[in-house]
Amino acid sequence: MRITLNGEPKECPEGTTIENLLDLYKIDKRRTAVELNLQIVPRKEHSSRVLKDADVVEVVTFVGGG
Amino acid sequence: MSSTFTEEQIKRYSRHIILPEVGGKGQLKLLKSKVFLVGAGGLGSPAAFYLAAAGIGKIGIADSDCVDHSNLQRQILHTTKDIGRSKAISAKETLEALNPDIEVVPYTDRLTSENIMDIIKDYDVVLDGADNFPTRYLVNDACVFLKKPLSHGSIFRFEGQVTTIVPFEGPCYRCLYETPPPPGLVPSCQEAGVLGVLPGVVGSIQATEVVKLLLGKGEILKGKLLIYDSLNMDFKKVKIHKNPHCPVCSDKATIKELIDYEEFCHSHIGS
Repeated sequence: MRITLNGEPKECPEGTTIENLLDLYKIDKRRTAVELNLQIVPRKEHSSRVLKDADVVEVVTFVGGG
Repeated sequence: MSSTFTEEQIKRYSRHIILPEVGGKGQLKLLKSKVFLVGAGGLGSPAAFYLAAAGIGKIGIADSDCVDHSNLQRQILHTTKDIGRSKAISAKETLEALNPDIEVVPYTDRLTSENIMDIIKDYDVVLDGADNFPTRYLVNDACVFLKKPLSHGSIFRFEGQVTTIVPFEGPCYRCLYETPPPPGLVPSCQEAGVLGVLPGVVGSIQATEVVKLLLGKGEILKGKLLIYDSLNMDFKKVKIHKNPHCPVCSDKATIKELIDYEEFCHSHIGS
């Protein structure tokens, strides 16, 4: 199926969870916030939330310096 | 503060006064405004410089650190002769030299759950340029509880992020990042390095947001996270939304008063 990750079209297999997606694209899942179709998905739901075709995912990484 | 300008003020702020979006009325508003800056470091330096130059009447600036050699590559409020001195005091001297028209109040104590509410309650807007997560969550929560607008900025290596938080109208920092990353996972600038010019851009964007908030002009970064990649010179805006389960600003809020933020940021290991 086809999803949009940070504005770019990406392919991923049926049944892919948010956690699988982050692993697939080698994104460190412990330091990211994930927005799925404009709603933030709590970190504890990343392993259970399954993506659907045409989902829009935005991944934002923690930045803390000042 | 009087409602007219002195002759010197007319000269100093003339380039603002001739802008229709600012004008004499807007400049007087800035002169009566009070802005609180968290940190006199990389982000606080450019932000404070421009806010002072713009004639923000009162600037509070909090930093419990002293100036170190390694700060001077980006923290432009301080000079070589300030090494070893309090950053907050050094900032006050620099800013008042630039603009004697304003008042700068230095805070040399670390901001804590015990002192922050009293310190920031009389300021109009807060600008977060902190260098650690406990302070970022503390400042966010305090601003939510006081319904105070907050300009958030953060930097890492070549990347910067900015958003403007208007509590309850738009998302807060916790709507985006509900819990902090596990300790040690997000290295600090000290550990990972930072491009010296990066905070110059990010802090200046924060100061721009503060001036627009005070003037009530233009579009602010409410509900938007601006991500700046200086290495590839890419600016991207990501829409962020109020989290209906946000622990501090939603209807289902579970946190109603300030907590122990050191403990909070060290208790999310692996979560």
